[in-house]
Amino acid sequence: MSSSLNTKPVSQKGYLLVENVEHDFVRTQVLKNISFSISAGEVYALVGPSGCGKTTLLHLCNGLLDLQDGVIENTFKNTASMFQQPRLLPWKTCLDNMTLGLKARRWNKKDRNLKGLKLAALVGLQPSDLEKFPHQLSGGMQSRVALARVLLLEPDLLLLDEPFSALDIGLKTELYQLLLEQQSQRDLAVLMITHDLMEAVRLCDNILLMNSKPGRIAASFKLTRPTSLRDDAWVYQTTAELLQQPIVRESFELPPPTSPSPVDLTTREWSYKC
Amino acid sequence: MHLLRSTFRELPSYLWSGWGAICSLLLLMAAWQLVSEHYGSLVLAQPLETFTSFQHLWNDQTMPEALLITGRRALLGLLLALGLGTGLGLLAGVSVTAAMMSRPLVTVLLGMPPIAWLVLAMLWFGASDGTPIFTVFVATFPMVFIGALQGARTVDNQLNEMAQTLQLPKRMMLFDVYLPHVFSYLFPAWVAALGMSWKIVVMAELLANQDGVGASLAVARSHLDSAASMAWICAIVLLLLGIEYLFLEPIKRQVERWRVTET
Repeated sequence: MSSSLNTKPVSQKGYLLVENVEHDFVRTQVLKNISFSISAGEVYALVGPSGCGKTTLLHLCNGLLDLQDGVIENTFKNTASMFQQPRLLPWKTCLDNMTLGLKARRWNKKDRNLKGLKLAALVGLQPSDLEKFPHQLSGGMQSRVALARVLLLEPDLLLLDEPFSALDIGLKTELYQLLLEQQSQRDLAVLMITHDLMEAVRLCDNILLMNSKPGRIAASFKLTRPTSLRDDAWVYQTTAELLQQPIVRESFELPPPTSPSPVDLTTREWSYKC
Repeated sequence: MHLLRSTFRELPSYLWSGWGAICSLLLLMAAWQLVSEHYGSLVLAQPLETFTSFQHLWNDQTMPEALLITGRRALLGLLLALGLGTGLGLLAGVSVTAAMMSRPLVTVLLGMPPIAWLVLAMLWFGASDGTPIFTVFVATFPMVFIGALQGARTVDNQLNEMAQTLQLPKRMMLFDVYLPHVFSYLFPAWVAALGMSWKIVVMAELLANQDGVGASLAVARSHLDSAASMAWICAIVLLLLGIEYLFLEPIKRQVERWRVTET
């Protein structure tokens, strides 16, 4: 691991610093020597095979697991998390679910409903949907509610554990688009788990590639092209390029690359460190 | 408060839906008339005879008094069971060990027929109020206990995590996350316990007491007064129906609105 990755960011707006984090479950080591840092406005993806400890790492960052070894410093004022499932309270209406976080911050009902209604329109929820209970909505709508619940808190760091993985590709793209709009408007820092490399290439500035047994960061890819300028062709090309890298293939336990490579590897707009 | 208001708002349409139920009850009444005409009034009093007897018992205050006495006994036993069952069940649900230990005990309690408890209660409490109260308590306690235990054991860890990341304060954790879940298990158990308590108390009084609905039923039987017996039975059933459909069902509809799946 390169030490330059571990230098403390100097951003005024807050940062998430993860340094030499290790974690064991009983006697199996799940995370080994994890270090990285995220500043305001950066989008990081954690990519890796199933069971490599991505979720564990995220749970350490959002405090659902106690840190055993290493340092995690989070100076962001407002951290919010999304999970793989929408996780709505079934006995509350969608509006009440959305505004749950505001209620926890002692907003009065009128104000939080007003704010909820405003945001609902942005994420594509009809006012009539808001009176419904979660079981009356489709999975996509439930995900919108979960997204709205998080965005209402105006977080400056967002931790995402594949929140839209159960949705179809169109919906998924739409919701990610919504998220990215918010991200660029408000200089939001994002750490997202995905095992879809193409998704990471489309959305992220940095991709942290993880290996399993024990989970550790094998490489860190930096994508130089701004997210707004990434078209489909670029995304396909870059994903293919990354997939040709031996270190990526090794991590996902893919067979060695076919030769000659089907893509031109000379135009790459990314760099990586191991 | 909100719950009460919406319950009352939907009451008229709910009551209107009762016509179907009344029709089938009237059919039952017709069958009753046929059977009693066939076998004679001594075996089964005719509906009209029963209603006259009912009216008589009601007007001379025998029935209201008996109902009050019985109601008080059932309610006392039930409240004891609700309080203790809910409290202990929740406590047992919080700890895995306690849950594992209490489960076989509760299974034994559930398996024990109420009439067996009644025999014991008669030995312990004689003909006092204690007998029906204890029998009601001991018969309904395990149902409530199991409901509370299940509710506490099955609190969804995913929702718990979600609530933690939203930094819900302790009070909100309790009232918005834990209690609604637990209540969704508790409420059906409470309703079942209420129905049970009413039946058990009549049985206990019939065998052990000198007053109350059960005792009056026993007296009517010993006088071979078929009309009075049927009148008492009608009173018991009517009261149960009334509680169930005018009180519990509307509440249940409101409380469990979030669970109803639309077809």
